[in-house]
Amino acid sequence: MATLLESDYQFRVVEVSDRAWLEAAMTTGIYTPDDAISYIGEWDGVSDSIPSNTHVHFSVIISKVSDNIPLAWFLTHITDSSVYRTAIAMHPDARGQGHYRPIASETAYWWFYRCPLDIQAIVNIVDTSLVPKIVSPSHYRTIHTEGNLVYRTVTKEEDEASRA
Amino acid sequence: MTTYTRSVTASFGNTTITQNVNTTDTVEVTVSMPGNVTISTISASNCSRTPASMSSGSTCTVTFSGTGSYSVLFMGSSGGKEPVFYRATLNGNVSSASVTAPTASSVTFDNPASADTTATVNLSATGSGGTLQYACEAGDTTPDNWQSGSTFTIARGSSGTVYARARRSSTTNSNTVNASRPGFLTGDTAVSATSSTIAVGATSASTTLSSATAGETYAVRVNNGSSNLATRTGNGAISFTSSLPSSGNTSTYEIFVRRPTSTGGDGTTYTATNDTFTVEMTSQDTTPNSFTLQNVTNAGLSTVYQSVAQQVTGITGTVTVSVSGEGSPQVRIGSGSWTSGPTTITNNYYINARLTSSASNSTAHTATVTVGTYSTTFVVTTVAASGGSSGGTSGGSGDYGIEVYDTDGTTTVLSPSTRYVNFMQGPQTITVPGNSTVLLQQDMTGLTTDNCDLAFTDFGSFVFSVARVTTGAVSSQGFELTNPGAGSFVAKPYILRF
Repeated sequence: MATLLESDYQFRVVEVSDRAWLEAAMTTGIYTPDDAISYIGEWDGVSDSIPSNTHVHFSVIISKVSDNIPLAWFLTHITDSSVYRTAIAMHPDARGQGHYRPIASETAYWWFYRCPLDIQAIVNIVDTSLVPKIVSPSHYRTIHTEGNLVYRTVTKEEDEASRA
Repeated sequence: MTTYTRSVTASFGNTTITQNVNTTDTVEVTVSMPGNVTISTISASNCSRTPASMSSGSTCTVTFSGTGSYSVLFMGSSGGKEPVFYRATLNGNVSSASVTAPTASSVTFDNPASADTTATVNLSATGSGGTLQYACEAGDTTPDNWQSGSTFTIARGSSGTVYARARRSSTTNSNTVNASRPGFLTGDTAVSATSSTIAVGATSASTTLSSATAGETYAVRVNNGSSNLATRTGNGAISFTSSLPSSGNTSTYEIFVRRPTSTGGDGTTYTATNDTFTVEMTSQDTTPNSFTLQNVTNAGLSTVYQSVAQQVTGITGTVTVSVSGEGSPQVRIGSGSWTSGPTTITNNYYINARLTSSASNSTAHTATVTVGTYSTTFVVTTVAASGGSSGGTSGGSGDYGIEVYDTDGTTTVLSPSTRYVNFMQGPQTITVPGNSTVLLQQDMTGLTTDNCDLAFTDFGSFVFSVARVTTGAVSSQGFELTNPGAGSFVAKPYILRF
């Protein structure tokens, strides 16, 4: 069952039956379908708490509401009141169509305003050698750069201000 | 109000430190991360933190408003496929701080060159707890315009009191202090005014201001006076027309200044600068350069004769003219009316005199014309009586006219072969101003172009025209000399009868 992010996109937790689609989407070899499937059950997207002082993986597939065709796999680490988005695998059929940024914006909306957890900040960690575009909205702040890794973050109050 | 300084090193899992505080306290916590990873998120509960993220080893400031438990979670992560998350937590309880009232010590003002001043509410004790606020108002003994800042804008005024106080809560007010409301500023007195000398009869004087302040209005008054004679703003000249000194005297004046409201003045009051200047009016010269009025001889009886106008020079101001004497004398100034006087004249104007000749032969009528301290006369002498009764004449013939004999009856004094030339007028020196006409007054009865003309001696090179005036009153008959040029000329004419 899919969950609406904000308006145009939706997500669902990865299922074992997604293996073939994940195989096609994961072209870098860093993450494998086994990784994505292994995270199933760490958090279901509905529960209002997670274990304190640890982190859980949230492995989901994103699709458009209009056609329900899977577009991308997102991996997010949830820890206390923060989420760290560490992996995106855009299916080859969906690349080059401008999905990155709206998906990033709609997932942020879900984390801050619809998620049952109290999320206060989002951190995007992007390897610019793999994702050459800045996928974060413009009001995100770059807080750290290390090699090809760029850390960009936004707090809930900053996101609220940008939407005002 | 206490500021606590704490430090903590995050760890995989979590490192927790505890600091209990009051609502007015602050905690400054320095957080270090293993491997110096960035503290990417700082989440606060029941408190506020600044900043929301920072680098390892930086300090975060935590403040409080509500009571109860609080926590701040500092989170950092390594990169990679499976990032390692490091955490540090600051937590504790927030208690309500006790509130004590501040103590106000004074309210003071700055003194800017502007309409408003800034009042500062000063405290000798700040009190504790709650939120420190200040109030300050003019004329209100219990000011209640509460604000967090201690400075207020107070408009200048000519009177009144400013009251101020502080508080920590709505029930913990300080004492009230007061001070006199800042008054208006007076104008700048650093101004200089020049002295001057004016000619006698001048109707205005002026002074030039320097070192004046732009925007301020300056007034000229009689020294220590109360009435403005003239005003201006800033540097420059001021002219005034009243309270001028009399001839030969000097008056002292003083500069007063008025500051506009925009620079702190009341915009209406003039204050003395103690900067004075003088105006001297030169003494009047009432003695003209000497001149004479051309006399008339061989005048007809009981006839009005006028002299030749003379220019009066060497005087200053307005000088009195009077005329007296015989023959109902009158004077005329320039082209004005004839008058028996007294009248007045100013420098370079022409003066002329006239009187009625005696009714008797060989009798002089003298008019005394006085200009200031100088007097001159105008004399009109009537013609002598005709020859003695023993003389005789013989009738003329077809070839001759008449002959006139002396008293012996035989000596011929006038005959067709012994013609005489008579000076009817002259010689006399006259000045004909440029573009003017001068009348050589002469009774033209019986005088024609055949027996009378005008002759000149001692004249230079100039052009003029001569017209005979043979009609009208005897006083307006004669020869008119018209100078068409711009410059005057001097001539010595004779009126001849032959």
